[in-house]
Amino acid sequence: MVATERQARYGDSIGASDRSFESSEVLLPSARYIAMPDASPQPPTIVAWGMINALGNSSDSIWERLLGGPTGLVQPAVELPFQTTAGACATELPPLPKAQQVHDSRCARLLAAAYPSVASTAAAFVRRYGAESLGIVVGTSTGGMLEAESALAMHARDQAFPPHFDLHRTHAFGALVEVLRGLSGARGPGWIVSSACASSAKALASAQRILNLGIARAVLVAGVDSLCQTTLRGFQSLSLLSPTPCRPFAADRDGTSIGEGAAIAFLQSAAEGPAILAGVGESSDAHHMSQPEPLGRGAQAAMRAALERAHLSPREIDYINAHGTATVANDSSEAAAISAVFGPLVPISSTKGATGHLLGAAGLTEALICLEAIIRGVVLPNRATPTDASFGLALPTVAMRRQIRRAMSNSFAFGGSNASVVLEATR
Amino acid sequence: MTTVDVLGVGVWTPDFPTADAWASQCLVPRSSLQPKLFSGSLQRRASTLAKMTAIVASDAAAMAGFNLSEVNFVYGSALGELSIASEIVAAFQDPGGLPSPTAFHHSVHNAPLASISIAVGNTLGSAAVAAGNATSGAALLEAIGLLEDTAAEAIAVFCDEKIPEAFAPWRNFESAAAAIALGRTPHPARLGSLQFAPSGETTRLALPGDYLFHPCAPALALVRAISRKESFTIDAAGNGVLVYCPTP
Repeated sequence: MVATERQARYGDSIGASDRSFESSEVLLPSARYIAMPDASPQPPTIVAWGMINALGNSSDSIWERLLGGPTGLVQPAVELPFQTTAGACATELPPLPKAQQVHDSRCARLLAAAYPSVASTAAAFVRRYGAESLGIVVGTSTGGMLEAESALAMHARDQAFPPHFDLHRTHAFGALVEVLRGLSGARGPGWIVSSACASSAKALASAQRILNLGIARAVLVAGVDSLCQTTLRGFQSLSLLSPTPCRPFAADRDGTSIGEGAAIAFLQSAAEGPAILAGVGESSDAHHMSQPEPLGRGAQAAMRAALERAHLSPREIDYINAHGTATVANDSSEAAAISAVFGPLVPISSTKGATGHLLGAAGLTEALICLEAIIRGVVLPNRATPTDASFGLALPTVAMRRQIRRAMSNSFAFGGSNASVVLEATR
Repeated sequence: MTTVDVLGVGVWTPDFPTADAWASQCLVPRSSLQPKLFSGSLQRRASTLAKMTAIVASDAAAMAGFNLSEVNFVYGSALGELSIASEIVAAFQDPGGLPSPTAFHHSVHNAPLASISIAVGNTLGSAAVAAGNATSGAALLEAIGLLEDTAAEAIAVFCDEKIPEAFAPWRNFESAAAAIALGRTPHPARLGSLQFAPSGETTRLALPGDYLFHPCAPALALVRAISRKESFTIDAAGNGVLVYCPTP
């Protein structure tokens, strides 16, 4: 059972967002869909959020582990022909509600496990504005791949598919939108964004576009991926996996570790909450399918675009949660890009040494980790020491108390697809 | 802005390899998939979806007068790289099996856009989406959102391939891709306009049987209507519809 305390605690300590939500909204003549095509786009507020991954099933438990608890990366339960570690969710995932069981997959269950964090906010919104005003964007890269692997294995063995498996309702990405529709009752625009490891960072950009178009007043944004043979063996085929828990930005880093998890956020225009989605910048490397451009030019472009959209200068960013996969090439390329845009002073850390690389869930998870850093005023540490001094960057290895008004999260993906997200405190 | 201009289209199917052939439903000899955009190595390594995407995007861009290296892309596919996924999983029947590195990095949903980006040096952001049978509307809304945001021009691609043999029990359809080039309104060379409306009746899909169950059938039918200068309405991935009105 995933804790639902995140929004409630925020509400207790800073001002109940549900109550603020009720009082800050301009009452409109109809609670149903209202198009606002000429409205000037305002950055949406993150009203409620939650996450689940190898570190825990609530923002609080995950934060505690990020501060210095044991890594979530352990020997994976699945049988693999090589040595590696992975970040599996330890929690037993409850079954989906009956109406959503046709879409059953581990990704769907992870998504459903994260959903209670935003459930009350979504329900209040739907009651007030109507289901058509709530959109859904989910970032994923694996979708139902784990179930497809089992189904194809069974078919190869028995010439029959498992009865619960359906190509369209289990495997296809769109199933995850249907799960969230079922859980929330949302009937607004909804789709999946799938750009490998940048999927859920780009889902935030997509949600912002939905709000700017005025075709929804709020959007449920999620990121989710489950461990499966395809990603574990696939990354190994590219020689990108470390045999031990990954060590982002370490001098002796030797590859990444894969993890699984889900993150979810309720974004609403003109609402109260601790931070706004100030800007998302997107770019393409136009370089290689799985190798980053060595100087990080595409990454620079994404970071600069995010800053421009947020109307911020580089020196106004207080913390960067890096993509930081711990592969030799990614960390070098990202370090070069950050150095070119920000210089040497802004503190940077990667949390993948604790969570593993959550692939399609990474972007939103790490953006929400930035949100927690803003609320708590703490820069998270890099786990591995010594960090690579050749980068000439501020790579703290202990947690630092610091006022964080604005934070950036980076996500860089296969296909050279880049996204940088800037969050800004509202007070 | 929830209205944009339609400036060009592209279609590729094995039987109707151009937008004109698709509009007239004149069968032509089955054409091979050899996009001019891809050089030797990409031609060899790119997936069927990537090749179809390159062909229809090039055709739509040429009709619209877009430079492929300076246009924002949105790619919609309900099932994505299903053939590559099946091929990868087949490798796991050997307990020590690993997928080929090329197959693995071409298996991601955004791989067709990445192939084009690499081929033409396009460094703009792009979006790869999926929404089951509502994928057409989702990709169009993403493209309209990009135009509302910062993009001056966008190409929305709709693409799914025939379901591979491994998934034989599921109803099949013919491989097909379509593209629509979009610009901000008003554009002097527009073929028509595409507008979001909060409600409305969708147009019945009248397509050859092999394409009726294609996940992107609404976009395939819309492109045919655009070529025929006909009005058309498709579902917009949730509440609302997208209405196409040809320029008189």
